[in-house]
Amino acid sequence: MEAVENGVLKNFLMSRMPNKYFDHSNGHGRRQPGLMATGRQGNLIVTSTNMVPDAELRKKFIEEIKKQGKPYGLYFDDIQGGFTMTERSMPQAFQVLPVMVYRVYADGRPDELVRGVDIVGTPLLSLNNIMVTGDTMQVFNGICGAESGWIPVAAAAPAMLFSEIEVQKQHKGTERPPILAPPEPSHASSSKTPSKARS
Amino acid sequence: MKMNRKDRQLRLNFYMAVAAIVFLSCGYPDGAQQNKKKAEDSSKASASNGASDKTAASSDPVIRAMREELERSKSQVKMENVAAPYYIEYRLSDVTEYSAEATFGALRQNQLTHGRGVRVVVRVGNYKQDSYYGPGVGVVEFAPLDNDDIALRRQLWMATDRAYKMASEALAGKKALLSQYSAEQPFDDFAKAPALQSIEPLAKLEYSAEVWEKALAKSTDLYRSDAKIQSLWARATFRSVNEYFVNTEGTITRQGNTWYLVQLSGETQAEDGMRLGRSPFYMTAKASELPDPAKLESDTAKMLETLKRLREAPLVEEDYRGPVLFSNDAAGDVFFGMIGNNVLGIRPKPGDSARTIGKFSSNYKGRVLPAFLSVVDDPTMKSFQGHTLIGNYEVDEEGVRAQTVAVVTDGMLVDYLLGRMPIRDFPDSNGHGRAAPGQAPGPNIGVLIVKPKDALSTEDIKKRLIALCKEANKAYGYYVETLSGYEPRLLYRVYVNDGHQELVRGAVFNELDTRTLRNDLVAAGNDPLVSNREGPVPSTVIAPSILFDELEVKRTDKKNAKLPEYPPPALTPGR
Repeated sequence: MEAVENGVLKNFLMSRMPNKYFDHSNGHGRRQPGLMATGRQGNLIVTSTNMVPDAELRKKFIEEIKKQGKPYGLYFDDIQGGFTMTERSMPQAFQVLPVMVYRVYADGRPDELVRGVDIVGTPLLSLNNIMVTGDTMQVFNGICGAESGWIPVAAAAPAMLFSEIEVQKQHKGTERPPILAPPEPSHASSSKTPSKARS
Repeated sequence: MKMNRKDRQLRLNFYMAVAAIVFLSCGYPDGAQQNKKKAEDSSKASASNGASDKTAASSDPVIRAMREELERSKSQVKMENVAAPYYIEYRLSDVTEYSAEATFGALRQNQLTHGRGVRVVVRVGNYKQDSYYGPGVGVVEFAPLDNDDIALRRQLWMATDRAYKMASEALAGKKALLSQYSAEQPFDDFAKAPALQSIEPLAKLEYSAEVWEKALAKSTDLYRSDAKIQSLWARATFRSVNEYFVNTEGTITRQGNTWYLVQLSGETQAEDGMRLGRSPFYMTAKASELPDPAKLESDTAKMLETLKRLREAPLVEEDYRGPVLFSNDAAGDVFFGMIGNNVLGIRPKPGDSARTIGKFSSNYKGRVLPAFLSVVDDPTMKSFQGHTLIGNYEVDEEGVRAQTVAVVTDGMLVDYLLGRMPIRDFPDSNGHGRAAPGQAPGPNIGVLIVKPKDALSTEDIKKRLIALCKEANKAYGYYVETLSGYEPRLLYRVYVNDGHQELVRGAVFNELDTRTLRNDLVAAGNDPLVSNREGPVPSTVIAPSILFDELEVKRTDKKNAKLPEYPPPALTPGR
């Protein structure tokens, strides 16, 4: 089932609940046990006609950083998940919660692991900023939650270079770290002084 | 909202996790392998006093890890500008539960779960006033199932750290709250208790999943005998709990308990649409006392037979006010709810001057029952007339030795059941601070025994019922065999002229309460019945049948539902 063809939305993933424009299920009525099925993702595959080898993609990334006159760009290597607001009454915005983010410097310095940013934005604007993709597909297996509950889904996509994306600072906790050092094996701990009060 | 996630980083409570284990453990044949190691442990440490306790305490890997981390926390946990803890306790609960459920002749669920939760309480302040309030009542975490010293201690370390930080916040909150009230609290926040060392054998479930699953399925297959049976299920739930407890006062205890519960449930509808149900159960501390498959099946048949009789029984149409006899089974429910719950010394919230939150808050040294009844709670009693008592324990969940407490003597309320949270005029625990795994302890009954003076035989108490009816000019009296809540399930009219019994349905009691129990009870039987009761904390009530000289029985005002629109699917024998 082709949902998006050459960048244009063609079809919805449909259950047996018809809507104004689509009156048939295309076999995507899914649910968690006990809930009512709705149109849900199964294996979502993103393909590209504008692919470059991954090494080339990095070069293009650095070129774009330079072109925009920025000292660095951000490379998102791994995320823990994300969510999108799909209710009509709410802004159609999404947030992605990255865990491994690197600053890639324009001046050739080594990449630097950073923390504390989330990706935010609106889907139509953000996804139209994709300039070029890599040529290696990666699979994401996850559990997706929506109206019909939590179901297993997969997505496959190549790396993508965005000309622009919005990030925001993550909420930062101010909890004190533990007072004592972690316990150590008992045969060693009796004579040593493994722990010291931190202030 | 649509969400994707790779890791489920949810903070589950202990019960949710025990439920989560369900999916991992479905299909284990039985609990035997998992408990094999524990059985070995328990055989090593079956002594329960003096020097052997100390040896057992130091050889138990869980106790050892708990003590080591407790020692470190006690001597080192301290934040600047916050007092160091004056008391720390660790309670680790190791819970194994097997359950299976069958309906209409087939199993519909079975599971074996094994989980450990640890509850850490850190108290800041002193015995007079401390942080045990709101966020300061403790932190609960899962604990690793193997006995790895460092893994256990690491969990305790993080929980202690969090509990201490929350305790300091709680003490400040409590002081702020109490400043709004004028009266000084005339008792301590926390009762002192002697250090106790008691290591008991570990408990282990004994059962065959295969035997039980077959028996449950077979019993529920009897639905075929009656087309009007709408629901019929049978469930077995077996649980072992091993509790490990250490505190900074030097108390070290370990104890294990098991209970075995088998429930039957059937539902049908009378012609007029009235829903009728029965739910007998067996609950014991030992597997050997449970009914065997043949007995379970014959009891299921008996239950179906009473449901049929109930369906055909006449309705109670007219209000009745007169003598009512409660069987020992029904009386057990009444004493559990109306006496058991009200003799608990549960302290009201700060600022409230009542002694307890129960109905007997201001009845100390007052009459709560007729003078011929006394009530004692004796958790140390293991069995009664050959029946094991699941309310039995030696040490409560606060590490205090269980005591026998006379709560009602000759009808007078003389004591409350108490944990380590004192109430007005009662500064000490009497070993009734009990808790479900992972939960905060509070006063609870253990084995509550109702003792009558001048008890009548079953025959004599029925004669007395009839005599009272005659005096009151009644054609019949009522006899309640079983209750559901405080509503009769099996209720009979006992006729004065010839003593015959007639099953009736659709009745409720009006004004069955503590006042009625105090004023209208006239006799008790010599037929004490053990009633083991499931609940957050296992408990037992032992009560005789009781006779009220006046109680109101009236028609229920519940609406009847429609009967099914079409008959059940046909039975196809031979398949």
